[in-house]
Amino acid sequence: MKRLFLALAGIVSTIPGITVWQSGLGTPPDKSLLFGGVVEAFGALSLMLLWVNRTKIRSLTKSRVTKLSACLILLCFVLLSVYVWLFGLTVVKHDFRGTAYYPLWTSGDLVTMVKSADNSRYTAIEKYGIDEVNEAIHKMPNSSLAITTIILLLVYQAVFSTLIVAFGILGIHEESEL
Amino acid sequence: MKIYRLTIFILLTIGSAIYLSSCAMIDKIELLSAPSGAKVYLVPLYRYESDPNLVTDEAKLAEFLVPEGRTPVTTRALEKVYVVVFDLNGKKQITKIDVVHGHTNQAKVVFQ
Repeated sequence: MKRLFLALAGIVSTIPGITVWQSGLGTPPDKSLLFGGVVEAFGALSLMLLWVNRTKIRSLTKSRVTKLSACLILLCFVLLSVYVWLFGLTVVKHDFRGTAYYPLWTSGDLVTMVKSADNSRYTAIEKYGIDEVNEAIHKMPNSSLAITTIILLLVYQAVFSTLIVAFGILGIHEESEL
Repeated sequence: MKIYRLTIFILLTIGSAIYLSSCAMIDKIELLSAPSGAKVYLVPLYRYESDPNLVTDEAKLAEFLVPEGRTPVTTRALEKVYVVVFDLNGKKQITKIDVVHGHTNQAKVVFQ
């Protein structure tokens, strides 16, 4: 069993990073390399931290480990929901015009555009065209898009890290029982 | 030393590919009028909405003049929605064009 959990932790820490890097799964446009790399790095780091603290984890009771893992899986689901919401807000894909990467908050011309398009980011692309929207996004201060990416990245890696830690704790604890 | 150069080459190639893929697409637009010989102005819809007097102000409008010449003319533009102003000897006709990559982008007016 412990091998299964440890193998799952290993898979969860490596496969998503590579998959994200290659496919851009759920990442903003042109950010798949960054997101994949961060998931990979944080996954490995989480496993290392668990390994360093393995004695402490092995001394935990079974019920405590179960509760801890359940909490982490629940947290993973909450973070995933938050990420899906943030992603839907920032990465707006139009059927045939392309994809715009909006900051979490808008300012300047972008506010006017979205307001005049019934407060819809999608309709703004439809009404003014993808390049007009992208120009308005790039007219905003650079920090707004950078902060948006940082927030998305934090939540995105946390989704995977919590899952890795959940599997890792179970694997290390199982090891002590054999 | 060879590996060092090869690494720089690979990085530059990847960087260029990423940069080019992120560049905006520029599409062809055909602008026609009957009779021909009209000056054409391509005003992005957002600019038009922000300043409704733009069409009547020749000085402001000059910024959006199609540089390739008078109709029939083919020009290139970004993927935006434009208000196209045709001006034939002071007589103006306005139409809208939605420039979409890979589509036939054409605007045509008939002066009565």
